[in-house]
Amino acid sequence: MEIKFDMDNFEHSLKQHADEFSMIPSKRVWNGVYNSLHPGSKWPSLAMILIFLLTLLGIGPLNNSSKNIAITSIPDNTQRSITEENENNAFSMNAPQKNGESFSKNSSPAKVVALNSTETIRKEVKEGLITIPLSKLAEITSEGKAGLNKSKIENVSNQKEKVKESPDKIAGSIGVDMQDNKKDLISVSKASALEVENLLQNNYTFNLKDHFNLEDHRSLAFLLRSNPGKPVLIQIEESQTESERNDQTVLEQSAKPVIKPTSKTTWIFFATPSVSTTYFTGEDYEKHNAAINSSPLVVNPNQVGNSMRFNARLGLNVGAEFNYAFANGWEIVTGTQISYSGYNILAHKVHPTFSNLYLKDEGNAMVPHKYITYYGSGLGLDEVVLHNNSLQLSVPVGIKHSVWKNNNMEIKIGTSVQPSVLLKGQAYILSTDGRNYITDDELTRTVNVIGEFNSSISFQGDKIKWHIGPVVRYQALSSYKKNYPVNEHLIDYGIRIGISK
Amino acid sequence: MTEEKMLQGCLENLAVAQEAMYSRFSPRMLGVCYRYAKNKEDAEDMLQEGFIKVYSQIHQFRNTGALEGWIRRIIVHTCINVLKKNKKFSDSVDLIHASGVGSNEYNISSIMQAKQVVECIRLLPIGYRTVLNLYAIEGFSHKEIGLILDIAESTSRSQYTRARALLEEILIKKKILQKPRENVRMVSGS
Repeated sequence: MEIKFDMDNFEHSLKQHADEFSMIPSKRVWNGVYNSLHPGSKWPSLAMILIFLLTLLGIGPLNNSSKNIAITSIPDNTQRSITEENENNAFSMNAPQKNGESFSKNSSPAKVVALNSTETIRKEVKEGLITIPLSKLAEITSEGKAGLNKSKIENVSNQKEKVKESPDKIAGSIGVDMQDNKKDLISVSKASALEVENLLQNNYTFNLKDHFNLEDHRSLAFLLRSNPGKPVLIQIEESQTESERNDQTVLEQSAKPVIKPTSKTTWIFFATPSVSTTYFTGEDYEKHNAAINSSPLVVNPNQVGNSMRFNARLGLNVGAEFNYAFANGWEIVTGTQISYSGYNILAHKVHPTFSNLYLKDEGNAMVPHKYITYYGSGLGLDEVVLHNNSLQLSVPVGIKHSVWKNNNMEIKIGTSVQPSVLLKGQAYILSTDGRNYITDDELTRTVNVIGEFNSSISFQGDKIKWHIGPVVRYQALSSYKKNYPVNEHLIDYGIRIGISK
Repeated sequence: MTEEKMLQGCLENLAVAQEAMYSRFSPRMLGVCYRYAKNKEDAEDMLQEGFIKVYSQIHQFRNTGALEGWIRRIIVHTCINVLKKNKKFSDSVDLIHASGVGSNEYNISSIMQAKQVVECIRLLPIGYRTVLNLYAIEGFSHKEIGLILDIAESTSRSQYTRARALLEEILIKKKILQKPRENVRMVSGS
């Protein structure tokens, strides 16, 4: 609605107009008011942050617990299926299921599995059967290889009560009919999972069926001793009682140490602080235009480096590297990296003026282009530092070789080729007469190739593995497109600091 | 929510009632702040400070007048206090010959006449603008303005006279007002 602006009653009209005016405040105003009036309401968000941080702190140690024991792969010739290999030795089970039903022999055929890692064994445990060649286990346990002896067997415990000495009682407590060689029911707790994994390292094949409960590694040992040559079904349970934890301690003390085999794949996360600089190449103008070359006011492309005053600057390269060991001591390397590099040009401010830059046209002839410039290349009163820089995303593809290693350390050398994409950049280039700096985004090359050479020394820390060593990165193609006759190659010299599990 | 319930809720420090009050009055109050402030961000800061004062002093509100008027007075005083903290403001209030508006002139393409008028007010130098706001729009007397701004009553009068003349000139330039002829009422707009 239009309001009349009455000059005779200026104040009234002004007030009327002003009062009509309103604006919608932004959300931050109410947030500010609310936080000021209800300071206590900040606590939920603070509590959430605290919980988040504590969770993060908690996940780390849990991920590094001793339960993550790597298992070496089992050679094919050691894999056995009891049902396939020795029908007579194959066990038959009538053990009760949780719902009390009997379990028939044929309802769950044993299968051979090759176990490569803890994750695999857990997966297999969930999915199906692990069959232990009982004779082999018995042999091991009777010889004490698995760290079990009779004195431990005597204190076999059920989940609820301890049972002493009597094999029948032990068997009864865990539901094993010792009179029937075709009924074995053994339960293994988490503690015993360690034992099983140890056995796996000794190249024994496990088939697993989830219908059976294995209670205690001592029960397992006892039955192994009592029933040589019989296969055993086991299930690794998640629950663990206090007595089982004690058992685990005893077991861990007596069991032989588990050696972590090297995984074939490794992720390394790294940061590389670097010193970044450049060098210039190019052909003389004579090749394209003798007239330009003869001019005393022309700086030839191969002289640009000498005509510019520039300094190195700090750069940074961060990324994740994926290594795959394809042969002994050799790894394929890939991943992704983001690198920030460049150099500083020392210039001085000038009044805006035009400056020429000779660029190659389609016929390879040199054609002048006019640019407006604000910076001179000489010495002036108003000095200014121009930052030539580039932020590039690259995907390396390369190899690494282990040149030396012992139990604690390893030295590797590597090289990679990295196709890269320019994410962001700023480039000042010297005008053809060498007097000014100009900038033109259209001259910048967006796709490039970087070559990298590195070496590293790797050593195991408390929880993580460190990889530290020098890196040289060289930008193979010029920073500029082909029509600019000067080739600029960025070089980074850095120290890479990486971590892996 | 009725005004009574809203007031009661604010007295009990209930966030729902406070937000209801804020939603109802904040757009107009921001308009008030905007006339005093340099830009919208400053106006929002004034508004925030003003509303915190409103809620903290809500128990002082006597239900004898309009709530909006009471809130507005608090907001205006908050704006003045914020301006007084700024040294440049103190200097400019005493400035007899304020600079012209030519250099500050910008294109007001707002279709809203009220906004156009407010934008014209904002083109005035801050000293003029404040006195004009307080006298012509908020309805303070020159004596009160003198007390609020710590200036002489006569200074307030002279500032207002100049502010008004300058504003008329701007309004005419912006074609919100036509150049007055004697004894002819001018009508704005097209």
